[in-house]
Amino acid sequence: MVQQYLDDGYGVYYVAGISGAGKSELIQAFHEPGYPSPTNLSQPAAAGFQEATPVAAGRRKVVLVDSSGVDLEALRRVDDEAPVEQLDLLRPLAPRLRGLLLTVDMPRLAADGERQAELLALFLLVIRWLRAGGTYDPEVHGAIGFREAVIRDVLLLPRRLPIPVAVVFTRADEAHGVRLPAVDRPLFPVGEDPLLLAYHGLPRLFAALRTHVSHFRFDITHAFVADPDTGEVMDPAPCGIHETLSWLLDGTWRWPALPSRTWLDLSRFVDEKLLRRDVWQRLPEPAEVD
Amino acid sequence: MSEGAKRRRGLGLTLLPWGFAALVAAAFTLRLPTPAEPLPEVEFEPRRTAALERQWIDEAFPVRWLPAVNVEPPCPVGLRVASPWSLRISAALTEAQNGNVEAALDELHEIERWDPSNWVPSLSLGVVLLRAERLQEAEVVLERASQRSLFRSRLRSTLQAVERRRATRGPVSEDVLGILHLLHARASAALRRANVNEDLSDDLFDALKCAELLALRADRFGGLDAANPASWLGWKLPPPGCQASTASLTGLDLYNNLLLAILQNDEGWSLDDDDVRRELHRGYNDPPHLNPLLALLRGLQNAASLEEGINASLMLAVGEAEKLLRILNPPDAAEPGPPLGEAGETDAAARRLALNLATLVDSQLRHASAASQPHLVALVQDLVSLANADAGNSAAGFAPRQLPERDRAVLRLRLRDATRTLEMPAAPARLSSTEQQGLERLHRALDLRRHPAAWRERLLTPEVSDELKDSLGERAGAWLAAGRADYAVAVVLSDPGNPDRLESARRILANGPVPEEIQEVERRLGGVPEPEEEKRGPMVLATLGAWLLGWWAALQLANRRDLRTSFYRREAQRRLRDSSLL
Repeated sequence: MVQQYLDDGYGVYYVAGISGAGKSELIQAFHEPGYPSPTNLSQPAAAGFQEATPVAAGRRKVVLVDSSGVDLEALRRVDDEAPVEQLDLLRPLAPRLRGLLLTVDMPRLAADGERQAELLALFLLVIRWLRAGGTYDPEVHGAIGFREAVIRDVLLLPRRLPIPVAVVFTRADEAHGVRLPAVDRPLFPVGEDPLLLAYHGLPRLFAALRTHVSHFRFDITHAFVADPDTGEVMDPAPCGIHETLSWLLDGTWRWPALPSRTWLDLSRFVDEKLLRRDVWQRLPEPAEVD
Repeated sequence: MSEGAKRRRGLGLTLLPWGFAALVAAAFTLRLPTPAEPLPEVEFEPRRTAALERQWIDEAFPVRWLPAVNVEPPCPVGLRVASPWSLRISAALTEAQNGNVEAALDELHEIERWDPSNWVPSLSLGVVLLRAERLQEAEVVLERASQRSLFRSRLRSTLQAVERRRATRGPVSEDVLGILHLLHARASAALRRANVNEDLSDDLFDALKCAELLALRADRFGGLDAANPASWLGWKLPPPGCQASTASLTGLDLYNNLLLAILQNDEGWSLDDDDVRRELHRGYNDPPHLNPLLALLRGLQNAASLEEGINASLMLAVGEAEKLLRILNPPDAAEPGPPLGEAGETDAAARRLALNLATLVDSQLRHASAASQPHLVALVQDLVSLANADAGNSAAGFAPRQLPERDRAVLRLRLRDATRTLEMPAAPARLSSTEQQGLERLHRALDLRRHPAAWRERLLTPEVSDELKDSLGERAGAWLAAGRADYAVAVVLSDPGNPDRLESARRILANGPVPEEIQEVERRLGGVPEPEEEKRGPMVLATLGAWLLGWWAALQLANRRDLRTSFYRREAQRRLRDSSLL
């Protein structure tokens, strides 16, 4: 199915995250005028399969590709061998990638945050490597293992990923009061600054984005609300999804833009010298919602 | 631009590129001054400025030609031809001298009626009428006398004698003198009345022939060198029957009036006439420093083949002046002598001739070649100095009533020379308001030109200062424009192959008319695009560039804002507000 879109010249926006992070629901909740609005709960993509959903992005033909969380988790193998099947799934998509949407399961941050960050950082590394035409031959690279081989190749690349990457903390409606090891207070998703939350809560993922990506941003979303009778039901007005995906689908990323790290450095400089000296030392208190 | 991008940027940032583009377009439209290269400081000859100033001088001091009006009555007692009437004519002339002009005129009219073929009563009557300022009657009497058959036959035999160089032939000397004085008196009357035709110059030519016959006879009997006209042109020509010591008329007076008769006869000749061509032909080629008028004549001939407005009268007058000056100051000397030779030093009549010659040469200086111009300027200055010699002495060759005219003619020439030297001459005490105004205007203009750096600065100032308006009035703009044209031409011609000089010239001219010299250089260099056309392309490109820059800047600012914004909180707040409204 994805291959058909590729053959038709569609650009690809890839959605990645661990299993149960709400990738399919997020795609389901996003709709642009002229496209059918979601009515049912979606079925998560099965391992080894990818679901493609065409979306409106001006005159461009683009498709959101939903992958299985199992495939992401399979990138990190204990035996350090190459995840051949997963690489075969990603390789044809890599040159056609126009953007990435990385999902972080917010309620599971306390228990699983480090693993999610590590997986997503590895995913960025692999995507960068694949876009540069990276290949792995066990006979040649066997001595140093797959991961080390990818890192060595990526270190030689002159350019970061030129495509925009949006990182979203999903299922925010269930994350109220969650505690992170690096943060000494419970989270209050609506009042949090997503950038600072990622900086303080997921420093590994934050560093990976700075290292591998030119344009990125963080946000928080929720698509469903918990119904006491039926379990999860579609929120009639999902929060944070539409604007985040609009940012990601914006065609102007094709034009030269100042990298996000430049703005980050500038913001940090201004904050430390003039405004809020401590926001980069510890996560600030959540903003009030009026 | 996608809907999402528009939403992200918001109205303020979407307007940014249009604001940038509008600012750039406005800057071009308002023609904000661009830093320009400093203008080259070249020395320049203010040709147009001086020409304009000379035009002001001509308006305040019109051209004045001074004819020789020194007519004198004969002395009939000593004349054989007047014997029947000599006592009565003498008595009538005495009456006129004593102020009883009407009685004298009655008497002379009566004698003339009785003896119409006798030139003595006619000349006496004409002179008395002229002295009484009855110019028209005098001209009628003298004209009538000159047309009589006896007069004509004597004149014819005089001319034949001169042509054959036979001093003993022709009428007796008293008749030749009589013919000469009668023709001169008639010319004086006609010139003073400005009633000039071709006959008048013919009469004056004939009068000169009479003088030449007398010179031939004097050469034979009295030792005067007739082969050297310079010697007899200054010779006194006494009225018939009178002593030479009392005479004031000379050949130079006849030449003076001949020049004026030729100059003021606008319709008598055509440049295509063979006679005129023959008259202007010269068998010699003197260098300009010895014979500058020959160079002027050649310049006029060249100009006449290109432009209208140069008539045969003017060229014949310059030709006669050239011949006369060459006679008086032959070019065989290593250095040129006084312009009117020895005669000019002594003869009072030469001063009037010098003034008219200076006026003639000065009026045609623009047609002279660059090589001959300094010599012509020097010639004019010498002639003016000669004309103004003994300025306080009323007997210096000018009739008393001509003295104010002489003063103004001299002042006019000196003022015109001042536009070149920047030295203002002293002015006579009594001047009319128009003359005084013209003098002050020129004085102010020359003051400004005397300091080249300040003048150049003033030329480059687009506005006409109040001070300049006060001193030059409505002519200030034209004066500045002429100065700018002079400066611009000098800038371009100092490096004619350099297109940057054309750009500098445009800046100097400040939208004023482009002089021909610059147009010629522009044509040779393939033309210079008009400033408007020149700006249109860059304006479109710069506006487009500004829009793109603004669009890009708006995008970057939106990215920066999005990086620190929580869309989640924004939407949640919106939902909360919407629900509270419900």
